[in-house]
Amino acid sequence: MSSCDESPVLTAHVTTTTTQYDDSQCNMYNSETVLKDVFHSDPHSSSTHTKGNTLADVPGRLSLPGPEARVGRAGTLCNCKRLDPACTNRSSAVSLTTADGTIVPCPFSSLPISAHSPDDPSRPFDPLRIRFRSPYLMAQSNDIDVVYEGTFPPLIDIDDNESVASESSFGTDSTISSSWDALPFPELNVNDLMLDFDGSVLGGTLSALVERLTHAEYPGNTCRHGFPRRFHDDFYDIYDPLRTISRIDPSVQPRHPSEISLLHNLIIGNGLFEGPVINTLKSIIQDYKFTTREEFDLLTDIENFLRHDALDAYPSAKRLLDSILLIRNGESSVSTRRIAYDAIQPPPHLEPLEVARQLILMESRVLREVHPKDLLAHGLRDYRGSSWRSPDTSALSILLRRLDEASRWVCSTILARDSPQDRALVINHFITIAEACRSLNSLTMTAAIFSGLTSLPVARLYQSWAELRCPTSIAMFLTIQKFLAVAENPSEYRTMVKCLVPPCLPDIRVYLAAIRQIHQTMRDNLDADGNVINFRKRHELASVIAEIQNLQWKPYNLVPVEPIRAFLQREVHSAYPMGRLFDWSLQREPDLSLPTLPTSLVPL
Amino acid sequence: MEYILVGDASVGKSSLLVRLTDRRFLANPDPTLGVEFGSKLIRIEDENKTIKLQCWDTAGTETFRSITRSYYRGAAGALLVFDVTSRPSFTNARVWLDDIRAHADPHLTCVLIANKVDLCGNEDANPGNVIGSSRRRQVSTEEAELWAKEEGLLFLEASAKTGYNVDEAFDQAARDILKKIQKGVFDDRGSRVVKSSRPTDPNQMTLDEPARKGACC
Repeated sequence: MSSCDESPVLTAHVTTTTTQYDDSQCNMYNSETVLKDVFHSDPHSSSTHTKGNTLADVPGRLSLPGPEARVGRAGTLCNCKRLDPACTNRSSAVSLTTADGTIVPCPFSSLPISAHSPDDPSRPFDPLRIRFRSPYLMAQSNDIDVVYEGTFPPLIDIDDNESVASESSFGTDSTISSSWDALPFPELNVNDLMLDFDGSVLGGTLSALVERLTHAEYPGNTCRHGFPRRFHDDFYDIYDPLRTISRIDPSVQPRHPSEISLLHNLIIGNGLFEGPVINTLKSIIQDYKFTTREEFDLLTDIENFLRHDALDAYPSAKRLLDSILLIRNGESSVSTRRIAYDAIQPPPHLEPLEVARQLILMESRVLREVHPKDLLAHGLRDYRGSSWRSPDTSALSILLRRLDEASRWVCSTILARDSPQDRALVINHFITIAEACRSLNSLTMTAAIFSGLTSLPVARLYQSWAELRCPTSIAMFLTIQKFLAVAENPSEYRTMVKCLVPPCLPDIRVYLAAIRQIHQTMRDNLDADGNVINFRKRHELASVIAEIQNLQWKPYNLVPVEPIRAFLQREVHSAYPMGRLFDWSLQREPDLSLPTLPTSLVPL
Repeated sequence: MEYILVGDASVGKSSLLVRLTDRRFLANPDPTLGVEFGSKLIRIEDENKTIKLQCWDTAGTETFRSITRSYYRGAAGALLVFDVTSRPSFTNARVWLDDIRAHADPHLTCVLIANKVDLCGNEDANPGNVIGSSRRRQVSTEEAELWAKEEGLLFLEASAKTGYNVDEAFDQAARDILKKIQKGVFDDRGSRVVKSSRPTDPNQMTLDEPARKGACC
């Protein structure tokens, strides 16, 4: 991105490094950007980084504390000098006045900017003249000089003696860094990360994102203990991040600051709230389903990375190696999860509740195997190429197929009966099964059976439905109908799911639709070249995935009844295709003029 | 350009798409689970334009209706398929059309496609020729055409097996959409529905996104 004018970036740094701007622009920045302060020194020479150091000789660099801003125990910024002792009004809402007089909300109010007064900390600070770009400001004018004239949020000074390093859990004898302060802060290029007003990440390049995510205390990450999940959840597709990690060579003193920070984050941990991050990496790797050859190669890379001499000192690296070995041997953590059955063995007969139980067991077994990868790829299977016609064996497609089969099975079973009275009996039976599924919190199975009942071949059997006279069944039918109608509305559905007492089987279709919606409304990348990852999109996707995963891991305490299960599996699997069912339905009740469902069954 | 293929189960939606993208006939396809995807570049000669078609092939069964509905929203064109040998699939087309109208862009171009005409191609001339096919035509061309006209749909008879009219179907839809773009019905720049290949201003994108999010969630 040579043209900075078009970069839609809220600059994490207004940097004048030559990689970003050419000389003329650099000069422009020097004159226009009156920045007397810098948060930190040149990242390439760690020695210059001392607290309160005057860094005015590094022109034009303003850094918003990104991942590098360290949050002390009390949640205050440390490593910063108080700007003006008199300025204690921390809550002063910071707004920025643009050159044309418009007041814009300041992104820094939540993304605390920190600044050193160059020489004398007690000296009142000059108004900051900040020139920055943000996607929001771009709407109003292309270049805005923002003059900040309010008081700075006062920053609590932490003495050098209370150095963060002393609180951290990692040793100071590290070969990589001896203490926090020796570590240069990572520098993010202007285009590396895009931040929102509230400091949450909008997007960024892969390495920038990885770095940010391995860092527990980046602004906006309020959940201090949630780091491992966060990394995993936000980066639902951890393949690329892992690859980035594995490519770091620990022995080479990293030149790129983000590398060292990454390494630091990973191996040593940032020490304040989390243990060594590598432990959490372990859990991530255990959760990931390594299937393809490419992914196993990645595993090898990570192993090589961990075996490196520089990491000898860290036992956690060894532990991770052990768990990778387990994965290689095929002992993923998934297979070690066992369900204890303590329910009483029920009698094997085709009682609706028991049928529902077995159906749910079959379904939940598959659902638990469904991997986020499959969910995200759903609907993206291209017809061309080898993937088409080769059977899709992912758990998701098995699950979907089973749902489809189940609804066709309902049709087939009903249509197999000769007389309308018999068919009504079967319909009645299936309504009871669907209701049992509903009471067992299986949204998907309920929906599958119900859609079998309401699919055209069955729904058009007017005579049969007319035979369905049992008021309880009709009431049940209407209840289920109402229940499933709720699932059509995503927000209502979510409220409903929250009210359910687990275990439950969520309606996978709702999530697939939600994922589709995200795909449709958000782009993968925020720039034309495809370098800046739209992190917000990933975050949205990740939250959908997290919702499923929350519900995925609560097993049903039900006993598999082998004869029923085998019977169901056989029956469900041999259901007729829809086209045949239509023909059959026409044979059973050829009258096309009758309405599909009796009025008593049509919702008002 | 995004298309969706909708219609009752086993009317040949997947086959039509495979015919378009791969130029072959999918003899015995598995039922589509949820949605599948196919894309193809087509060239509109007189407009001198190459268009990338992205087709979402949706499942016809009721089970996946809630998934497939979420695909309507982004589509610029819908191919509403029915099977000429199956009366119910034609009557049900009305239901599908209502569904499309309820969920998709109001300006979407809809093409009614009578599929499987190969099964009854020579029926009128020489009924004896249809060996091994117990199927007969149940929906006449006139009837379908009339209904399409009533509803303002384009209409074509096609066969995924022989490839008859398959390209034309997609082509006609593309032309109609192009016409709509030129008339300004679809806003080429801002619309979700038709994406121009010219990379849009990334700034535009970031600005739009939160707003969109708000609108859809």
